[in-house]
Amino acid sequence: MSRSLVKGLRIGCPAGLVEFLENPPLVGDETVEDYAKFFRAIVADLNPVDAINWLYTRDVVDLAWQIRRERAVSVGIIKLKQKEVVRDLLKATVDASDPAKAAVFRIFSAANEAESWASDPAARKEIDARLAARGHPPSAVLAEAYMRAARHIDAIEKRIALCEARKVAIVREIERRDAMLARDLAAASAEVIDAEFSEAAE
Amino acid sequence: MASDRQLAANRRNARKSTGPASESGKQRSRGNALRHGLAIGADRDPLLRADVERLAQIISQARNESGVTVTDRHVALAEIDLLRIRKIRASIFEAFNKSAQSPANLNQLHEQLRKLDRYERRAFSRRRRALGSH
Repeated sequence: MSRSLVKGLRIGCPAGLVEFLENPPLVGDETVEDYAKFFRAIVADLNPVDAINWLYTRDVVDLAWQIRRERAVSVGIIKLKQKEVVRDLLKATVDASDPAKAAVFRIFSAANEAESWASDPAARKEIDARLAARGHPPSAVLAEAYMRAARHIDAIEKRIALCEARKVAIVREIERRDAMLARDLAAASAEVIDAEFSEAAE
Repeated sequence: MASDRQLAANRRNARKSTGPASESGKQRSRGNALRHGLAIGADRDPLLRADVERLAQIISQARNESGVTVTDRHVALAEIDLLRIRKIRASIFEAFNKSAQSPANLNQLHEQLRKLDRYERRAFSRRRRALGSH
């Protein structure tokens, strides 16, 4: 557990609640430090005043974190599809004047070149130029990748929209509770003042 | 109604079953565990019951009540479910990240998250109803 997150939670968070908030379920290369930074920023913004608002704040953090995670998956899918498109274009546009050589390229080299395109910036530049010369500029490759990934991107975007809607509803609820607590506080202080004045008048 | 002979045959055949053999069958079977895990309320899980009680007490204090009410327990239950759902969601993403990220893996990711969302939606609704809010 990151000390930074626990430290962040201890500022104002009801003591018993820390154990429920301190273990964020992280994935892959997500770090507790990043999560803690994110958490602190949202806590500073929403300023939770009681346990219920702390739970709501944690929801907002997790929903925002989820959106970030979904976007990372989306980027990963596009990259994967771009690689696929490059491989298919390399196969489709290979110089067919020597059929045997072209067949060998299609079977063995195209996938390797697509792999290099994805991992080596110099190879990427060279392959992009080659494909552009054959009528397939990088923008066309990207567009085709989006087309191929459309169904998956659509599913991800729907989940992101759902997270956004839930996040907005929870932030509104925090604001509503803050206003209610402020009203109660104002009413309570007015009662105290009234009581003091009536005592003084007696 | 099945005869004794049929019942005996059913039992014999059932003993031959060794669970799902195909990869898709095994995946479905893993899904069953996930579904049933969430279908059981946190209050029925001895490991989580104490968490629900502790959280209900904290919620009760936040609501300025003299003792833990049924509403506090409902809120705590929904909250514990939300925390469980987030852990399961993370494990689904983790499994996807470690996979070949093929179209089949992606379809599986969408399907698992779709199922999980049903539980999350219900948990949010239960908490909202209990707190009489959003």
